[in-house]
Amino acid sequence: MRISTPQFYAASLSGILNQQNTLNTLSQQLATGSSLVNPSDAPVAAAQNVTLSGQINRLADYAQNGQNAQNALQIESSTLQSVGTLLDQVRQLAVQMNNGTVNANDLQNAASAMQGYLQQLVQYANTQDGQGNYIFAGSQSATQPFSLQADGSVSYAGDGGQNQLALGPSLNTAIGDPGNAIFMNSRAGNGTFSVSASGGNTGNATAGPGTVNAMAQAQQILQVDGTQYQISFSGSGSGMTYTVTSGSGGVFSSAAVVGSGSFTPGMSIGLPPGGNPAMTVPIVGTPAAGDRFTVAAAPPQSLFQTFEQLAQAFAATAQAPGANAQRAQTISNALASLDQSQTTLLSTQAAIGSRLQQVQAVQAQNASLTLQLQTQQSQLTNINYPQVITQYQQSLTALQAAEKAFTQVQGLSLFQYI
Amino acid sequence: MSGISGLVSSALTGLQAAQAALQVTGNNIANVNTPGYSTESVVQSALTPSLYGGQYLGNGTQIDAVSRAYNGYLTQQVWSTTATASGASALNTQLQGIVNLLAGSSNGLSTSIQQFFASGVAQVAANPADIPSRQNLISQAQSLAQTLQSTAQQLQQASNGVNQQIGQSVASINTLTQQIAQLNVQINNLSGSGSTPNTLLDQRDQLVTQLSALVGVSVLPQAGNQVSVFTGNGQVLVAGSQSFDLQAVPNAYDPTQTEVAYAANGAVLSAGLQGGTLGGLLQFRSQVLQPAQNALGQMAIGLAAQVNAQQAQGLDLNGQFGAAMFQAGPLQVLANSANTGSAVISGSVTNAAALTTADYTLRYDGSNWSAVNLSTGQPAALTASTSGAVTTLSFDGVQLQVSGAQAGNSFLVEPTRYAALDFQSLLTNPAQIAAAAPYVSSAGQMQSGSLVNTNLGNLTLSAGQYSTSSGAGSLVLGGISLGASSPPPSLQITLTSGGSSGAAVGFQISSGTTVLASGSVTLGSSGQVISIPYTNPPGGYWNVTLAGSVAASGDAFTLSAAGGGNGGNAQAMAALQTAKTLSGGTASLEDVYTRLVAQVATQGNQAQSAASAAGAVAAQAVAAQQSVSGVNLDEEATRLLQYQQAYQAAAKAIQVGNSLFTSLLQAVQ
Repeated sequence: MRISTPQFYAASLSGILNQQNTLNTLSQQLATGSSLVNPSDAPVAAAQNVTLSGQINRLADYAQNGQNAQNALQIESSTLQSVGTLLDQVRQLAVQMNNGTVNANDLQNAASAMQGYLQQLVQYANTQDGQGNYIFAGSQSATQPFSLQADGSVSYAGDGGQNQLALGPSLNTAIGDPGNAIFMNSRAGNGTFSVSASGGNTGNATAGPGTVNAMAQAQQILQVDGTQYQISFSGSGSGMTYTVTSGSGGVFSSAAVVGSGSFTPGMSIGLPPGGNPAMTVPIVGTPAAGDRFTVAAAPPQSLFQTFEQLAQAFAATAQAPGANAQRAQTISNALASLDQSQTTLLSTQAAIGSRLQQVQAVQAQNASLTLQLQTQQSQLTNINYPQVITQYQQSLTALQAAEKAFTQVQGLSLFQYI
Repeated sequence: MSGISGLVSSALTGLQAAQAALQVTGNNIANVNTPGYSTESVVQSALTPSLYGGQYLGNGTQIDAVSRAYNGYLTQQVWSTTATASGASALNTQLQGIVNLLAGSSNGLSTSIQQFFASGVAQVAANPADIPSRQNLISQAQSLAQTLQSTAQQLQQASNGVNQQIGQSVASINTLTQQIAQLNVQINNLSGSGSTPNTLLDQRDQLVTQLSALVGVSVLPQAGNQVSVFTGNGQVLVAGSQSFDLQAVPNAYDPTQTEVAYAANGAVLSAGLQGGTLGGLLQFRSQVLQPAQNALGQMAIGLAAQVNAQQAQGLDLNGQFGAAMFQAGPLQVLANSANTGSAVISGSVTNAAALTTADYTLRYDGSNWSAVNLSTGQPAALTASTSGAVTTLSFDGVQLQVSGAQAGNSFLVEPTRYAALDFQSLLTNPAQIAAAAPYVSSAGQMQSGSLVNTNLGNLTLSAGQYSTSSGAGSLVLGGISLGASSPPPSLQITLTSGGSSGAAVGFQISSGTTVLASGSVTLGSSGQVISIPYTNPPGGYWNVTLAGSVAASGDAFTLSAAGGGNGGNAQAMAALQTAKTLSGGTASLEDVYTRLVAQVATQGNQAQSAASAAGAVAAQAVAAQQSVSGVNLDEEATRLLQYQQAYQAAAKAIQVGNSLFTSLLQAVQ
């Protein structure tokens, strides 16, 4: 083909410029280490890169959530551990005081120790996290949830709110528990019913906490129907008899006798009286004629209330048989309530433990997924150095060759020879 | 003539011919770098011989013509490939800026979106009561709004740039067509003499090449060496001695979009222009820029609608239902400048999920309205309802109110075009972030600010969650509407009877002393859902479930306004990033953005290869044309020597003739 002179120059120039352009792109890739210098060169990779960055960021966000959840759960767990220790101390003290040999002085000391324990419990229940939020206040984290009233009772100003954090795209975990679930809602007595002694009892007998033989029947009687039972005693010595009357709301009509029998020490009374009773209430010690015990559905009893009951029982230091039995009954009831609270505490601890385990498992999984996605992203966006360096060398050589060829060919002109 | 005089006169014609040829060669050398110049050569022929003594004796030579090396087909090729290459290059140049803006690895928008959710919202969900976390979310929201705005602004600047360049191209086209028409006149005048004005033809071809770089044209030869020039779809630009000027005019609907029209009658011909810078610009605007602006707008509207709806579902630190966090730019309704009457039309986006990225034209034929989706060319499903003078039109997530329309009126609706450009972050006070759920469920009842629980049964009230529907069999509360007043009133659910598994027990729901509703729950079942309605927007319900197996009459549950420590709503907000709520429930915010990136980057990729392919084809066409018409200096050097020697030989012949004369004269003396 005939080449016109301007065409020769234009073609040489555009060849050199193209080589320079390639070199520029390659040197940019080498300088940044990224193969996506120009998204138009790899549109699919550019879009995938956006998706991958989003996923990696979200995983980092889940990791942050997991860390936050772990911190919150650990604060809660260690607080509950302290509460558990406190509960054990209180139990020991209660067992010690539930003994005929304790004197008024011991009881006095125990009573003031209980006051200290109660304050300590309130303090634990009002635990704040690093940002000053009350961790057992439900959603009312800015308000102190538990306050000790002048009468020794403790009220709950929080609510039942529970926060959750996302650990993964479809996995949430609770990062705390509301204070009412831990401290306020445990049942009294054995969890189904509680036994209380009448204030006028003079014998040394205590009753309960008792066992449930048929749960559904017991719930139907106590909770659904609201039935309460009163066990009363009359006579003395081997002629002592017991009478069971039913009622509700603490009112027992003497006409509503549902069962009676002769009392032998150490016996248990089945409720309702008859064959296969749903509940059994053991009577320990010897009651006096006229002593009464009431069996009723177990209401929620706060741990504070249990502490307060113990404190009051210890504070009643009188050493008469009736007073001792009263105290023993209260301590027995409180020990049963402590058991209920402890069960709540343990199951909460178990839940926290499984949440922590879940967090850790998900964290490990997220970390490996992150690594995988990062590898994928680096394959997508990072250059292959040997390959790019080779291409760079090639382009460099090609450019040098083009320049050399141009300078040599442009020197060939017939006019030089005329 | 014969004999010596014949020799001299023949040699003289050779001398003259060589002289002319040398002049042509000199001219070729002089014009070696003149764009569009075609190399010229002399066409020589022998003069008619004379009959002398029964023999024909040659009379020398003559110059028939000076012709240019020209191939019409190759030149046409140059024109058409130049138009394609220049169009592809213009598109590519414009596009690469957009690609780097939207798809570049250092793109701020994807980072901003991710940070808003991952670092902003998630932090508040983890520490709902923490003011610094809330402040951080406010800052992230502002930064997201700014990034969206500035991205949209850069697209808008590209749009303004296109308008400006259309104006400049039109001005250049007018100059070129005027020059072509003038040259047509001159060429016509000079062609009459029988010889062709090569230089003028070259000049005109060069002007057509320049015109092709601006807009694709087709050229038809006319009588007298004139040409007529048409645009790709046959609109005339030059007809013989007459040129038709173009003009940049505002779009009939949207004055911010420049169109190309005839200066004389204003007829718009943008739609038919293809190739050249102008064609590339128009293609860029309709196929890349506007779809990108719309997609960005769709994302902005989706983001604002979702986050605002989530805000409205929850409570802020002051116990108020959350205020809107974002505001997307308004929908554009533009009346055709030719509309008669004085129609009043306005509207808004009512359903971000149903929104498309398309623009629509809306027409009224005097009784019916119709809307056409300009992306697909298909009619949109439009419902119209008239109340008094106002007609309400709804289609694809858009609602318009129009009054006073007359038959033949038409409007352009751009639901998403400026949504990102005017995107704003509205919240400034960290307390205004609605991180908390509306209600917290607790067992027991509120007694002078304290929660007292005396429940004997084992029923529980679930924490509750937001749902757009109340669900089958749920008890929908009347007389209360969440969001109507803040904070939401405390509700107490009290069992009015007891029972155990299998039984149905009654309950009543009261606010203070007012009983709002009563219902029953079957014990041991999955429980009874109680739905508390929200005002609209956001609509929907707060659903809680009462369930359990043993109930005692008088057991109570409380729904109280959540405190600042609750992060339920913030957690739901964090999940919005990947919730598929846009484009009819098929795409999440991130999906919409990724689609935009993929689309723009793919277009960039195509434009890049198209531009380089078209550039190569054009270069080849130029090379082919130049191989015929270009000046080669070596060739000219050869010709220089050739004609020089011819001149010298002719001169020698004259000298020989002269010496013959001299010999003859001496013999006579």
